[in-house]
Amino acid sequence: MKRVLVVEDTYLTAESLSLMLLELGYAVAGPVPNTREAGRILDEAAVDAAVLDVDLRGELVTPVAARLVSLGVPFVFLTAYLGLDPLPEVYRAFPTVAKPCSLDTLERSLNALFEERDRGSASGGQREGVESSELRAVADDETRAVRAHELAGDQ
Amino acid sequence: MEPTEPAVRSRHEPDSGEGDLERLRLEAIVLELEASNDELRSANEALERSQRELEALRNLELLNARLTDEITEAKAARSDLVKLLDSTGIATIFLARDLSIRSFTPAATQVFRLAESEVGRSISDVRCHLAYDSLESDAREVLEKGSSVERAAQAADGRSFTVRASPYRSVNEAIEGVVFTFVDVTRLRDAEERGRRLATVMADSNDAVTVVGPDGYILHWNRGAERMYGYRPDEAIGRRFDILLPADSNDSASELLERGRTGATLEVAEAGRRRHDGSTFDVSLTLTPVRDAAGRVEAFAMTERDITQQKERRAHLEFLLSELDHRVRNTLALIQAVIDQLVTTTVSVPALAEALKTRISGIAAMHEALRREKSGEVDAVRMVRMALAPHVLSDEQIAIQGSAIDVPTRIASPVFMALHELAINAKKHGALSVPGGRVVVDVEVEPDARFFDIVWKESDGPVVAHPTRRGFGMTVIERGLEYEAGGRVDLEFEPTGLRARLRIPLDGEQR
Repeated sequence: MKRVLVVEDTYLTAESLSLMLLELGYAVAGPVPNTREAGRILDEAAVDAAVLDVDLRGELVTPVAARLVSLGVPFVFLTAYLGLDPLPEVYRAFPTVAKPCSLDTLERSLNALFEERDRGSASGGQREGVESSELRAVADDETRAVRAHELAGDQ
Repeated sequence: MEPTEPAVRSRHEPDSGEGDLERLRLEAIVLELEASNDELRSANEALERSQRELEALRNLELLNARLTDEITEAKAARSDLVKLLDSTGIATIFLARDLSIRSFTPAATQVFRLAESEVGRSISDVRCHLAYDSLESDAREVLEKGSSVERAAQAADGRSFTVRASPYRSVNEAIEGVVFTFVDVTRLRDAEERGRRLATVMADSNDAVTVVGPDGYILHWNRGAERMYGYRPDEAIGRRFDILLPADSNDSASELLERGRTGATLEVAEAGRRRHDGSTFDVSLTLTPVRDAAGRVEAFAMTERDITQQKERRAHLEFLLSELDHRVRNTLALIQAVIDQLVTTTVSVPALAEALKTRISGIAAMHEALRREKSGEVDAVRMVRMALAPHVLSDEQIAIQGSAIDVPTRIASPVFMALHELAINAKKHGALSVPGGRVVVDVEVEPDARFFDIVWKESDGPVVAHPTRRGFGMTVIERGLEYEAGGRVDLEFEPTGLRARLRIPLDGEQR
């Protein structure tokens, strides 16, 4: 059974997501409400995929995303932002699911993730290396983006 | 006569007979001759006199002819002059020294109520349409001093006139009267006012209004341009427009002007610009070619507006819309999750519908309450009051008290959800399910200020038994607060009523 990490800050939404994943035949790692606890889960055991809520009470989920890229674990972003995405540019290429999401959408996105991963491993792990270096390069930008976002929120 | 006297005397001498007769005859002839000589002389004199008279007459005739010519010429000149004065359309009125009207031009009827019959009447008897009281005193001043007087006067219909009173001099420079001219300067005045207004508007405009020559040199520089760019007029005028473009700009002044030359008015929505201090900003601009009479482009009038704020506002608006979208979608996700959870714990469809409606109104109350919270912090007592607002029937039923403490708004959502569920539970099974039942809610701050507690105490309700099964509400209260805020919930089902202690960390998650 594939294990899917769930990072989502709202308890009921996280529970609902977990229920859906169980229904789809996945095991759930978490759910966890923040990056710190997500890190703890990744320390403990490997996961096969992840569903990441982008905005965790003003904190971006990107550190988890960066770590998953370096681990070669595929993931989808779950976001309620459709217009002004707070995600730094480099993350925009990753698959995204809009909140609230249906069981169907979740199923299709996860299937697509695993298909993509299988193709990627067949052609070698080149892409991941490039991506993770890109991700390191934007680490600073990212912090700045989060800060700008918070500042704008204070207005 | 003297020499003839002896002869006359001798003629009267008696001593000669024949000789005497001859002498007498000769004397008679002499007398006759003398007499005719006198006649001839007087006739000659008469002739000479009439000769002189004839000459004088001829001179008079010549003079008469010349004067007739002059009079004709003068008449023609006068007629020309009258026509000229009439055609100028300038109201002109000629007054004699006694201020009686000698003549006037047709246009003068616009200023005075005048008819041809009024010639000869005193000007003071004629009604003037202008507010011009000093006409007579001005006329007298002109007559006395021989110099002109100029005044401005308004007509009742709003038109403006310039009045000029000048001496009317005869050929020998004597002042014979006063000429008044009334020139309608309404349009001139309006144009002047418009011009002045426009100049003020242009000078004070926040927009940079500049005039650039066809060769790209700055010709005019208003105050708005000075404020916008930081160049004084003397620093900007005469320099090329390129000084205002950022170093890395793809535009060039000549290119812009080349584009401007072709059309009537060129509008550019966004263009980069550089200030005197080197900082850059964006403008929107309008470029209008100014053409000479032959249609050649003489210069360009350029209006530039700083769109920095506009861009910031637009970005902020986009941000707000995105935030709204975010909240709406999160709320929908929450409602979706509530449905998912209720479905697993609710037994009937009507009960599900009722439970769902109650939760949705609770979520709505949370939004309503947190909508205006901007500081990132909210007073805890206020937060509790807002959370329970949909349930509070009277102060006797729910009393909220406690110390004032600001808590982060990010914990508001799980606290709202938990309090809401406690209230629903109390209404269904607890103190609020019977008349006279009470709930007291205390907000307590731990001495070390690392936590704050919300203590929920029910009393005077039905006897409480420990629930056999964890429903949706209990799950939300216990797990939700822990998950989202790192809080801890202690529930004690005492016989006198439910006691719940919600302990929430203030410095981030404490799980």
